[in-house]
Amino acid sequence: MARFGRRVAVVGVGLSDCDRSRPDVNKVELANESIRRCLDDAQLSMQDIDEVVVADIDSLFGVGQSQMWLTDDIACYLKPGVKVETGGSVGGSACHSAVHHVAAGASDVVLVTATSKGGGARGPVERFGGGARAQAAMTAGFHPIWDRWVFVGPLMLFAFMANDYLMWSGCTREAIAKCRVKAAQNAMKNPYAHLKRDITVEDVLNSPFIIWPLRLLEFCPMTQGSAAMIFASEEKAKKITNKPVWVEDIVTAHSKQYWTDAMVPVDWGSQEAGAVALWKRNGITNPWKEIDVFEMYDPSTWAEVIWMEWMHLCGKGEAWKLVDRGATEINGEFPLNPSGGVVSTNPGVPSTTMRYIEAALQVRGDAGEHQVPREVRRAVGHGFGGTNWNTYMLLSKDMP
Amino acid sequence: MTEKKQPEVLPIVAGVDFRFKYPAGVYMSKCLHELKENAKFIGIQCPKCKAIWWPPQVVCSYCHAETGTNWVELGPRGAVVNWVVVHIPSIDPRTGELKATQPPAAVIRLDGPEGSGANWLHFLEETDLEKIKKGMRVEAVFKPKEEREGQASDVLFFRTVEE
Amino acid sequence: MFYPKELEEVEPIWEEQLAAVSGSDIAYEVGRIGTKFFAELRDNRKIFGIRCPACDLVYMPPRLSCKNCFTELKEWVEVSNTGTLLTYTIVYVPGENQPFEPPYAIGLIQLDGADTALMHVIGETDLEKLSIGMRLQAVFSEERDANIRDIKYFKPL
Repeated sequence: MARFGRRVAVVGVGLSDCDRSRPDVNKVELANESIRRCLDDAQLSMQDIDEVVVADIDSLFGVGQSQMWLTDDIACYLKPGVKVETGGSVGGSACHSAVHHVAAGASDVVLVTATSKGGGARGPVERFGGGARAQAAMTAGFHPIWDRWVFVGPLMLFAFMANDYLMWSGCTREAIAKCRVKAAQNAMKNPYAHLKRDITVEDVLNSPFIIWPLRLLEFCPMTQGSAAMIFASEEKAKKITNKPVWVEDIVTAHSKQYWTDAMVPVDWGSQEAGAVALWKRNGITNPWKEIDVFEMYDPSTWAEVIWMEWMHLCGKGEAWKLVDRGATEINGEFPLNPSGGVVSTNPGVPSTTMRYIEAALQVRGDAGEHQVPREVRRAVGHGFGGTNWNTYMLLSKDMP
Repeated sequence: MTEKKQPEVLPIVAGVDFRFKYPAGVYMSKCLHELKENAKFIGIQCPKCKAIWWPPQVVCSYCHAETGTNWVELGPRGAVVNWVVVHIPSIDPRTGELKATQPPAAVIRLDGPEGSGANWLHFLEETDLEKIKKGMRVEAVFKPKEEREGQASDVLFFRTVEE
Repeated sequence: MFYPKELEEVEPIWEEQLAAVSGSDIAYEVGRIGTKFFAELRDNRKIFGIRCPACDLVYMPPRLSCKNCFTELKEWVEVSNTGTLLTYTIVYVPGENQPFEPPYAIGLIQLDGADTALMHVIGETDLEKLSIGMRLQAVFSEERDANIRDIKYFKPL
């Protein structure tokens, strides 16, 4: 059943090479890299693009109005466009914006671009200081008078989440470590992933505490990279490609103004509200069986496990057991993050775009070595950011 | 992508920090004022759905009713429900300085009327992880009145108490 | 009146702090194109533009993509140190990070061989005598650091 005024499909995707630092390029050149690959993938040229949607978080990267600097290199000169900011979910929100415009008939072919070019590492001391400054920069998104003075960025959030789950669910740290090892194994099959180290369960369990009880290897890195996607109307999509990936639905949910409210028990109500809306609107009663691949935004391995429960993929207290017995492996019952996830590659701004891209590649059968070994008809991409924005996109092979 | 040729990298380094004066607003000013003058925790209760909000807010997040002046007194005691310990240096947003360590941060559920309560993120005096337990009773320790400024840090930390 | 009357008497409270901390001391890497451009300024006192073969346009300062046709640009073209003043303005108000003590002039200068203009400062000149269309020449700094101030200013020919 078509949900939108006009059907919308993904017709092209592009990813840049990702690493801790990309000193060979500046921000606009990095954006350009994934856009050129995306245009190649879709076999389109810049003239075919009607509109560009830019995803960014200006306050983190020291360039205000970044869309102005980006214009020439994102094929946006004299074209309509819009810029979106929603924290870490912005890569998804920008895609949702593009889908809205195509579905409404405002544009036929829309390019989405998301780039992250953070400060880059200097040396070991600066890297530590860089860690503190990076967390402080993100803490700017928390309430200035009420939350900021204690919070040490999103890191503290996930530490609270880990402690809470440890206290009531009976989960073992080995199960969480196994989940992290799965991410590393999947990332090694993904040419665009950042962290591609062959780590073991012992490596995870022995990594130092960054914020007790959260260990270093249980949290995502900081990456520089970019991503681009092209969305098109049904009529255009059918001319552009013989493998359109249909956007069946998009959902966003948002949470409360103070993170403190969400801390006890750690309340991921907006993860839940968004997922429940997605299942309900699309007649999905058992997502574990009905969704073939799920690309979840996992800033921490703990999030990948705990949010499975909040998203109603399984019952409360069940997720760590499923992960422990390998149910979410690439060849498991429910492949979760076959790309390696955010915990392997985290450029922030493009991270959600990458989840949507990876889900689309799985539907197309083009994920190469990290393609799941089963038929993929329906995939979900998820985004998370800021004050608990959650974005979901349901993609399918069959035209809705 | 075969060999990675390292071109000369030319960076231009600049720091971007700027200070801002944040108004607490009408309702939060009231609660910060009470902390400063009277060492009291004043939250608010929604007249419609009875949810308690700390800090007090104009409109209930759940049912969107106006909260008016339904003040409730909370604390000064509460129970620890979750806690973490920071092992990396962090930046104090007020001063911009790098802090090497900080005491354990905890979410404390402040006692409210009739068994209700509200959460607050603050620091614990207790630094020994072995001694911190879920449900542990704690009490707010305030700065001396002349040092209080009408900020969340007017409470120094929460001290473990026997009950 | 939106707020209850009793709240009118409460003293307003403010807190001053950092609005946002930058993610690190930001290193604005100049990138592939910028690296060549600034290295030429520093090492050889040469100014380079980049040409789009499809549109027959020379961009200076150079960039990666042509804004009209999106061709990836690769053809470096040395442009002259001399050019024409397209427009200018005079700064009177003192501020931070100014290249000169006010009053001083900033102009858009189209160097011979380029199709776009460079914004830079104008020195060694009587501000009264500036005019659109006048010819200017780049003066390089003795100590050069691979940034736009390797050109100290433009002076009238």
